[in-house]
Amino acid sequence: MTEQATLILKNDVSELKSVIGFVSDLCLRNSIPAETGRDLILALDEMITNVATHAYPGSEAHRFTLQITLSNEEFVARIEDDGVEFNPIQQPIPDLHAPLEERKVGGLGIYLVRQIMTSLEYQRVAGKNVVTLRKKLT
Amino acid sequence: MTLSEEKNGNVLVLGLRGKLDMEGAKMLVDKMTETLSGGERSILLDFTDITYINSAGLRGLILVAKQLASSGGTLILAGVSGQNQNILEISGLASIFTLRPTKAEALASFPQRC
Repeated sequence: MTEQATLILKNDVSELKSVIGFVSDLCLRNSIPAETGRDLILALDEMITNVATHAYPGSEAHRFTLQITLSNEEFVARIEDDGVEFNPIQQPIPDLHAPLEERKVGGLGIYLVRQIMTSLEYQRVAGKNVVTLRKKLT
Repeated sequence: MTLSEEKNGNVLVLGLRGKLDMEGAKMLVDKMTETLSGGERSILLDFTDITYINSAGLRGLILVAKQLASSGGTLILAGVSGQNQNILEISGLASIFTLRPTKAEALASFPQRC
């Protein structure tokens, strides 16, 4: 079993709703355990919000793509945008042991993605950011 | 996300329902600002009906915790379980916050007024 779909998204966080709906349906159709489905949705939420919020400074509308491939073995999401260069893997890991008064509020999104997905890969290809998230299903 | 509130003795109980995401976090931070200016210092956040937390939600939680701590208040979270608990643990926040399984246990954990 392999399913593949490509979604064209606007740089607007309102797009998340359609992505969550699509992934939820996909998981239901393919009997993906609920806990895994929640991880997939959270990871996509974080990465898509990053692109929608930061990739395109200014108010112009842009489009970027989300390609999803689901096989028996793994779920793969590939996000490609032509916004500002951004490598999520180079982002500093937040200090998880800092006491409350020293805890910074940023940096948790990508860290969470790296914890809940099997892998997070980045490439810069022909002026585009290409982020690939993988989650093993077996 | 929706927010309900009730007073239980000297504790203000805020019931959160739905998704603690960017919008939910803003609602929570605004509510905490209003609550602190009203003089409340013992706050219970009931997470029983929270279905989802993302990093924006965690940012809001950290902000309200800092707000309350700098005012000398006490914050306890009740009903954090499942994926919500997992997210707090992964982010290292489970050890910063006081967590109780139920609202009743959380209420019993607040310092009592003399």
